[in-house]
Amino acid sequence: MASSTTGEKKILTLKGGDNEEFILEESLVLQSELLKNMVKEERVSSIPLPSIKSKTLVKIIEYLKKHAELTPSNKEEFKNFEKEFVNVVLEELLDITVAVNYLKINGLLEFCCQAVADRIKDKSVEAVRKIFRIESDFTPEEESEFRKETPEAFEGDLDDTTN
Amino acid sequence: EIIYDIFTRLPAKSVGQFRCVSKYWCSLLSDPKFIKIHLTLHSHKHLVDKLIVASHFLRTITFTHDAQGEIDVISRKLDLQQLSDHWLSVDGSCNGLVLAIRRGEAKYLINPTTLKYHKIPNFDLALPVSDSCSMYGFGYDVVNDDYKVVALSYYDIDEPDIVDTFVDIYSLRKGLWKRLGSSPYDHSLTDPASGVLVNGALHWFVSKTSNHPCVLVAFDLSDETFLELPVPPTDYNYSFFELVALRGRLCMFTKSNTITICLMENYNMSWTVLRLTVPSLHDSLCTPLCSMTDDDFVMEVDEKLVVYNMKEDDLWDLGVDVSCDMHTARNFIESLVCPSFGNGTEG
Repeated sequence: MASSTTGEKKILTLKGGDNEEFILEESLVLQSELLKNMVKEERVSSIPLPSIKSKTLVKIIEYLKKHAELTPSNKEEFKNFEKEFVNVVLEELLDITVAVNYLKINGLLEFCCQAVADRIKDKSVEAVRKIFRIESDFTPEEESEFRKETPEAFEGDLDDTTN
Repeated sequence: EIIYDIFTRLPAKSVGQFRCVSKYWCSLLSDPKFIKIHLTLHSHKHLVDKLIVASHFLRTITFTHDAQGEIDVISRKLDLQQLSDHWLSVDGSCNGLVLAIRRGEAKYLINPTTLKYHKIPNFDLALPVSDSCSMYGFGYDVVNDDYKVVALSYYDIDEPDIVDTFVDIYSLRKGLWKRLGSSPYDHSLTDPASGVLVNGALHWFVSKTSNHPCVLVAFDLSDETFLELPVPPTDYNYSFFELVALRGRLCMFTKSNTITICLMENYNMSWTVLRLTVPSLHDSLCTPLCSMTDDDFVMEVDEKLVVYNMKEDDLWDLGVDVSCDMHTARNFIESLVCPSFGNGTEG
């Protein structure tokens, strides 16, 4: 890969949740505020990220690489890549979003949040509870009161799937 | 929390639904701070694709663009239960709240998205309805974080003893009316019109004195003063112009054989004047309503909604009949803003 940096490229190892190791150029991870601070202040060469699944980390590294190659001329291509990037099952998208939030990759975070919002906006209340693993703590009386006040919330044309 | 970032990006309707998910979500999504962030994030998108109009009932008109670029128009009656009928006009719109007037000059602030409403109390100094004429305006005062209703009223009986126009202001935060005093202008010579909100100020055409030409004034909602604005040179008397806000830009509109549109970009006091000759509209009355993009505007022409694209000089019918007076139509955004301060979610 062509690079304009002079001298030796620094190499960094990221360790995912299942101990899988990812070796990549240090310059790539600087897009993450969290990793940037770790690299700058502690001069580490290996960073364990036990809370992030390897599958998720693969996706994020793929994004970092694409984003690093972004130039004015391939903007369209990048946009398509972004679209494909979030075109995964919702559970995986949430994993990615949480990881991106933890790593503080700001541009991607906004994009992911919008993608999640677009995916859940037409979901039913029941589906949303399942997606975010939330038990309703309303009493049946309170819930039926709510149903009366905001009937659309329980209308049938909403999407009940959790994907 | 990440969930907060996601929620602020949801449309207002979805947020309303997801309040029923759990008690924690309900309190999170009803928090005034959340509602403000949500508003900021959504208002700058300038999605003015919703109109509200009064024709006995309140009716919302929604424009949606499908993937093929076609525009769908959905008209829906606003269900306010016991308040559903006897609406006369919509006189202002700001941050997802609208000011609507019901029979007997009863004024309400309504959020058409959440259906919460607030009845504005009567002002004990208000002029008697049968002998006077009132014009209203509604907007947000950034400095005091307050929503304000402005009423301009004067006696419209023959040879009144008092010729002043009184300026009364209702503060939503205080829940009170106050009389600011008399306006330095004569408001009785121009057609009664509600104030047009742009850049934190309400705009009206007024006269300085009985035989003085018309001027354009802005009433600043924060410092509560009038300021005269420059107007572009045109062939017509300004009293023939209608004011309208198109995507946050102040616009003067008039139609004779040609349509003349003066747009003030970025509120920088300089005007762009456009003259459009649309042969098919020669004998029609046109009312400008809103813009969907920076280059077009929607008008009501002979009880039909049409879109005119200024760039391509192209006119097309949206295929919607509107059999009501669109003069009081206002565009509004979907927001969660509560039409009353204090008691969080209750209307």
